[in-house]
Amino acid sequence: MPVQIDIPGADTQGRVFLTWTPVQATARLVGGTAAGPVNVTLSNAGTVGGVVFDAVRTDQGASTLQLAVPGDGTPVKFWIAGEFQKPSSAYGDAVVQATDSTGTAVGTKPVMVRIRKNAQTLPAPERDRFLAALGTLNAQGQGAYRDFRDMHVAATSAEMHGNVGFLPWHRTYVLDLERALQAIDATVAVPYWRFDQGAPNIFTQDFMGEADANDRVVFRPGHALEHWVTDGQLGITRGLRFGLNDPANINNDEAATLALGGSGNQYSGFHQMEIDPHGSAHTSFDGPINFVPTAVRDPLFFMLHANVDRLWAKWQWAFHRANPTDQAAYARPSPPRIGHNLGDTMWPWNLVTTPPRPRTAPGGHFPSTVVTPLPGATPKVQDLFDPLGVIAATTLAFAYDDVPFELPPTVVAGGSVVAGDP
Amino acid sequence: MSSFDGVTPLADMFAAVDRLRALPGSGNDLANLLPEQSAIYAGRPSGDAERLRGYVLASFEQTGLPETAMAFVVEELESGNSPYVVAAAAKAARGANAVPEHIVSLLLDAIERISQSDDFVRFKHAEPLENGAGATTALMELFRTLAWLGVRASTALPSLEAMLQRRPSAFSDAVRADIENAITAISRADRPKAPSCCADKSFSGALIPPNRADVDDVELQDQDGKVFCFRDFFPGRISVLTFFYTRCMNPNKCSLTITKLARLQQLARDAGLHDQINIAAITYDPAFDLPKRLYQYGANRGLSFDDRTRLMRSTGPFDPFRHRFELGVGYGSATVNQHRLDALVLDRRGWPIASYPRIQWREEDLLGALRSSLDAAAGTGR
Amino acid sequence: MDVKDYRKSYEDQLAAAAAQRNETAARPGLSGAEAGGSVIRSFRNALRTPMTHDEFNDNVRQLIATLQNSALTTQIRLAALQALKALAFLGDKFAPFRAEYLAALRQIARPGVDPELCEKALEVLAAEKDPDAQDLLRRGLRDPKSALVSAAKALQFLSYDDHSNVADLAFSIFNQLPDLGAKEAALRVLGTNPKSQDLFANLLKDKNQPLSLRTLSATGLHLLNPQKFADIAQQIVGDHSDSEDIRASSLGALANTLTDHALQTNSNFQNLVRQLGADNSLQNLSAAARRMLPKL
Repeated sequence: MPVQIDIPGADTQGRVFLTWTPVQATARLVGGTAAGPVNVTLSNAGTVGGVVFDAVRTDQGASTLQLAVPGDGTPVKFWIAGEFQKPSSAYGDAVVQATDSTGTAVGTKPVMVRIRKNAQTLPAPERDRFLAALGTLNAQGQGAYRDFRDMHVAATSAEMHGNVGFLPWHRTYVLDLERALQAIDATVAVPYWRFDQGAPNIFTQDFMGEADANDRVVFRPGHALEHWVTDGQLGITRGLRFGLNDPANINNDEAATLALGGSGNQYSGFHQMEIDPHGSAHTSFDGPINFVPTAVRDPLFFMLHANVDRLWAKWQWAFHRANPTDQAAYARPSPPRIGHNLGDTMWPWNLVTTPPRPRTAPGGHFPSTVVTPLPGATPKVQDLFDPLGVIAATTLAFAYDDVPFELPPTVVAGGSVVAGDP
Repeated sequence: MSSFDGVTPLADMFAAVDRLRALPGSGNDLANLLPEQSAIYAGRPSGDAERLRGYVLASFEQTGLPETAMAFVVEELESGNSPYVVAAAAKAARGANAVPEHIVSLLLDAIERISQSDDFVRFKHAEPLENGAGATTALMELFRTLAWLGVRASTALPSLEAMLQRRPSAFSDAVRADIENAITAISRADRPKAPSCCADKSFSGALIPPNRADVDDVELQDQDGKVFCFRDFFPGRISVLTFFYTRCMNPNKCSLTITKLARLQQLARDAGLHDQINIAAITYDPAFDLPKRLYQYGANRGLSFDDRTRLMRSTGPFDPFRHRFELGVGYGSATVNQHRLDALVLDRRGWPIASYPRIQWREEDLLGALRSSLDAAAGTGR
Repeated sequence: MDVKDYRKSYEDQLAAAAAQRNETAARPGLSGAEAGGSVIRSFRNALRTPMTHDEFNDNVRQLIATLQNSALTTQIRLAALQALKALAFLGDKFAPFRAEYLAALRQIARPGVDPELCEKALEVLAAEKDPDAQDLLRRGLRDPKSALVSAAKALQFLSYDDHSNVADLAFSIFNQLPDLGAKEAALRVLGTNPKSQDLFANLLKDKNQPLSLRTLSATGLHLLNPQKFADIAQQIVGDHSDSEDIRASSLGALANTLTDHALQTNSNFQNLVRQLGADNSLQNLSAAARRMLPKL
């Protein structure tokens, strides 16, 4: 008797995208008439992506799970998550399989464990899908990438720079772009440029382009970004000021960045990473990515900021700082400025255009997705703190390949935050 | 100055302005140089056009500010994003005999707008732009105008105090000194420096004098690629018509104009007037702003397109519209080099019955003007 | 890996890194005795721990002074400029120093200053749309003897401002200079001028032109006249006598914007794309075709 496996958040084509965050799924007998339950074993039958299972929400999922599925077709719940360090490369390379007591497969559900990966080691098919989506989003300057370009200019800089909201704003910004890419190709996730390590595979004609003697970025013919256009000039200008096999010209590698919070691991110290490594990474090049008003002309911007965000996510995980109510997890804006307080909605997604906010709000509300309702159409700063849902049992539907889902010490498996604890 | 044009070297232009500003009663002559379409700006890059225009504006501190030039000052303080021109406008205001009621809020808004783009400014062209003694920045000029207003700027005191108290400070030591001076000057002055003019007249649309230019047969193309003539769209309904271009470098102008058009559209819908009016904008830059670009620009700012709401380009030159509606726009070699804000209400013939140049119109006010026009049209049958 | 084990491993790495972390600047090239080097080293050290606002302000002032100091080596001054460029990302916090910073750059962006330093300063000013810097760049394009940077760089820097009137100069550069890099730079900015369409169309169709110029022309023509581009690109893609690279490039441009063209429903074109996608001997062209196939 077949077993149907249902996982929430499927798109219109029935596709399911997981991260490391457990989601509650169900299994039920189809056409069940059996008097008693049927024992099935859930496992991963995929070849690349891995999934893990548990009966409760936990960070200790196992590769198999025994389920007693009611014979009358009543669904039985279970939890499923992507197996940490086993992300997918393509849709369907992770497969949830239900087998009966004879070992016969009675139900399968292909899924994708969709994770943001290190661009330096990104397999070519994934790289090319990302690039194809990006090229379509740009559409030779006529596409929706223009909105992203218009959001990050001199006149709007106070919304996202020089203050504590730098990290949540840019997390939202990268997620906004990622969802725009996923609307084109749902299997895409934004890869990150790990700027504290050599990344020769990124700055090639097959990926983000190779600079010629005049810093014009050259791609192989037919490349999705070969006809990239924003404003001012055709194509991309980007000259590396560091060796191709070297890290960018930053002072703080990952460990040093995570140490910026001091012995108390305070956000008030950590967000200084805006200067270094973030600012230093930007200015490791000649060309538009050097400057706030023009940085988004270069699509490398989003891979740079994916790494900035990954560093924040890593810090949050390492020091249990995912709860915005934790005083060490955030800081007061200094100087005081709207848009940087925890409860503030963020421009432009809030469409607020009365001063001191910028006068226009390109791009509209934050895009929704079937995978998760979060962070909502007008996200607040605090809504971006817990992408993996370690506190709130909800997810922003993105994750990094080296930042796991781990319940904080104050949360019991299957439970929620103990009242009064961060 | 009539022999000067867009190819006259800038240094010669500055020298000519210097000579003019030294002449008694030259204020009106200088004011004639301000319109964006003036020949002295034609063909210049925007940066040069702005420098020249700012240089002219700054002259009014010395010559006195004619009433005809006040609208230029207000526009720069309200919407300008070039520190140089905003500083010039601040200096120009100090030459006025009467200032608008809302001058203080204009100055405070300008301070907020350029606080992160402050720069040294010079208005004597022979001097180098360096950090020398006596050098001022754009922010300093704005605070000096507040100081000049004296007690008329008393409503600014809380904001100025807050700026001084803010930590960390967003201002350099030199600017902070001018903030302190402004507070002192405002607090101590016992009578207004300059009498105010009467209530803000910014939203009282002027009539455009009839002219012979005819645009009825000018071909237009909308954001969907549809081609039609002016006469096919505008006559038959009351219309609001604005002008913009997608490469506008000032987000307080074109981007904001289209954003406000979208809000006006929603207000009109809520008021049940949407079917009775046209909402339209025509690009200054028709060769570059092709339909797809128009569509993205409008949609990304919330505009919802239909038969009565469109963004358009002329399929030929834009000049007929410049002349017909007396628009304030000038061109460099490839695109617009500067332009004023322009919004018009057209009657059912497609003739302009009200014009709102150089102001940030509010959607509610423009809707009110449209409503009045509809009522008047219902009465006269026009 | 169990997440607890992963955590343990990562915490060990962080601890080891903390133990090794060197309090002096690890970047090569700045000797301890070098004048001005102490400012740079001090700043780099300050980046490793949270700075107070006063410390931040002091660092910025010292960096600007270092940048301005013509008695220091170019290397030190460049390091100061790099640091200031990173700090300039900080908006409000950097705002009090912006005017001084730009003033310092103007002192450097002039003849007689080390060329590399001058070029870097010019780029920052050009990105700020500084009219004086634009003047210098345009002057250099008109009179190469007075040029402070190469023609290609001057065009790139001027392109930071859509309204810098660079297109006219770019036409001249393209027509007069034999240097391919300069021609490429010229075409890149000509994309902002609708009058460039005919030039782009002619270059794209000309099989004798270098690939880079034809590719840039494809980009430019598509931007300025998508229909004209689609008509020419369709011919190029189907022309087996033309280079595979330009055919791939043209197809790639169409793939990004296919929904905008009638080609999407053109059965002859669809068949051609399918054939190209199946031909594994045509690497780039096949790849471009395969990228387009899902959109047909």
